Amino acid sequence: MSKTKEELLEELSDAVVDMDEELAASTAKEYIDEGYDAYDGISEGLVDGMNKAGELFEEEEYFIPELLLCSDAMNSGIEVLSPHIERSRSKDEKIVVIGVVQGDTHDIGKNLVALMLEVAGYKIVDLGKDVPPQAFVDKAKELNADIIALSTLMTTTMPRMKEVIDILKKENIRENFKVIVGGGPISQKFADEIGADGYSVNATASVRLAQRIVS
Amino acid sequence: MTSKDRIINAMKFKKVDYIPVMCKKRAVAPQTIGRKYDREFQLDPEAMAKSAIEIWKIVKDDAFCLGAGPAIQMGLGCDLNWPEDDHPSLKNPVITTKEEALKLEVPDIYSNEYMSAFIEAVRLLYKWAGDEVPIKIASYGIFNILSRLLGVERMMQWIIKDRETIQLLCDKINETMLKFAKEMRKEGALIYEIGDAMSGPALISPQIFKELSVPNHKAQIDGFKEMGYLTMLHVCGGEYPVIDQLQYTNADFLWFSELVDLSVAQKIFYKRFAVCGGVHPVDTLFVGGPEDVDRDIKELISGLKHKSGVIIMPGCGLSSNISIENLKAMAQATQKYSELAGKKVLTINN
Ligand code: B12
Ligand SMILES: [Zn+2]
Repeated sequence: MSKTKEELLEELSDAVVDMDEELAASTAKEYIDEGYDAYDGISEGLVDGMNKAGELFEEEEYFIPELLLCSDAMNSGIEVLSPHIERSRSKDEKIVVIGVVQGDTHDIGKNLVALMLEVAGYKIVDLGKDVPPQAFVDKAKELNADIIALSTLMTTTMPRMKEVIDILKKENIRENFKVIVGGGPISQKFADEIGADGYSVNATASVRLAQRIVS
Repeated sequence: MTSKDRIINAMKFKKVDYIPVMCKKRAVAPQTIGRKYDREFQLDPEAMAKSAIEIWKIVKDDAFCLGAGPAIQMGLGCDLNWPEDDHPSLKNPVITTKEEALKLEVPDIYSNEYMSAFIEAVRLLYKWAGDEVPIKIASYGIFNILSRLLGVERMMQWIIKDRETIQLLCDKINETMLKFAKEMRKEGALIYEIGDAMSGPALISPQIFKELSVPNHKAQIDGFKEMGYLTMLHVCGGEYPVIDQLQYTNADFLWFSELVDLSVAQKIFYKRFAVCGGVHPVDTLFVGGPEDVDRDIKELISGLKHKSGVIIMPGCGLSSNISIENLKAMAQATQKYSELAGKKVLTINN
């Protein structure tokens, strides 16, 4: 007996939460063979699972290894489903230029933020770590990005965040981009002080933040 | 009392004249001889030894400090970025498949230029500085090195999916580190400090910490102890959920991040393990000035119940732009206020 769409969506979601790459792929295949919509399979199945994984991370039920494996499972499902997507992704896809500021090479947190934003449907341009302030601005201009996301874990490199904002002001393009900041020592207070548009405490919250400021 | 006696007494919960104090000065030291913490520095034994002495002359804490992390990574063939004056970071993972993992070789210590330069630095330091102030090797732990071979993501994934390969790599890294440590010990090093953020609960669950990190730390620490080292373990944050696990690593000194209240740690481990830490590397040592350091250390020590079984240290390694004056203030304040430990009078406010 064949399964309903809802049943399979739930199984897709569970495969991601359970970090089961193979099951995610085989369920995705079953889902497509039943003729259900691929786009829904991603957004209501796989991505739903990734969001649940994000919640478990917030609750300290899952840690970084688990979160990364959930993302692997999600991707193996997406690989199966994406060739079948008929709807093109919405035109107003928002672009996020993200990176760790100059002098800092802690990039685990930044990578998780990039991952969760991508899951939420943003187009991510990742400049990596130890990124000079001007490079953020140049890339954001080039791509006409919506958000510049800055990460740092060290107090000693926090001033680099303000430098990015200062360059934007100097070039008279501050209003063109939303700047969000995060990382261990960053706080809402610091974000306000340097004139950033937002701060969030972790990767899942960063999605809510992005949605709030560029709706 | 020499620094060495002071540290050994602290470890054994015997009397100390004042509480030992130390810090990870490896990245701060080069500037004292007009150098930078860069690649060339790691290949220059004289500069390493000389700067360790020069910075000690200013700070006057209870250990000389040499940083072995870069040498171990280079010995194992990691591909690193070298900033102008900062800790190297991972450029590209050199192991991406199980086959490559199987091929990783334990290096011949003396044929690697970084490792042999480092051993020479230990030898010179001991020759020039003698025995009273111990030489502390500030080293990365097995998992930090592992992350420099695999990249963080792959390491995290394999930890869950391919524990066997992870263990195989841990064993090879450990073998390399033990071999290297043996040579350093022969040349006079006494304290082996393991900084292993990547093994810690900031990144992995308490369950995996117990299953994977603890046995590997223990295997390594037992090896170091057999060579006569005093061992110190730092897992860099998130310690509370695993605090009961730390005893099973067998480390002589448990070095906590600033997230752990040192007086609480001391209570938990008194007469079992000496504890280290207490000084906020950022709020106190980076943002503050010498007066702030003095005040914070006074408060820290006043909160301790015992003068022995503890070492005052920053809660983590220090970046190269920490003020040396503040480190000096930290050492001076520790000496000045040591008497306050255990003297706190309970005042009852009504
Ligand atoms: C892992 C680690 C390392 C690894 C880094 C590996 C890597 N590829 O990233 C290694 C061992 C290499 C390392 C090196 C160093 N480290 Co380190 N490290 C840590 C540690 C243990 C965990 C950091 C981490 O990854 N956490 C997990 C992630 C998921 O959390 P996160 O980064 O905060 O990210 C989350 C949120 O902040 C948020 N977020 C992050 N970025 C952004 C961005 C935006 C836009 C938004 C909205 C949200 C957001 O979402 C993320 C996901 O939920 C911390 C201590 C600790 N317990 O936190 C020290 C720590 C960060 N390190 C420190 C230091 C000093 C160093 C060194 C200078 C010296 C040393 N100790 O060896 C070198 C740095 C060299 C350099 N110049 O960069 C200090 C920094 C002190 C300070 N505040 O200035 C810390 C705080 C340790 C301490 N107690 O002092 N470190
Ligand atoms: Zn640390």
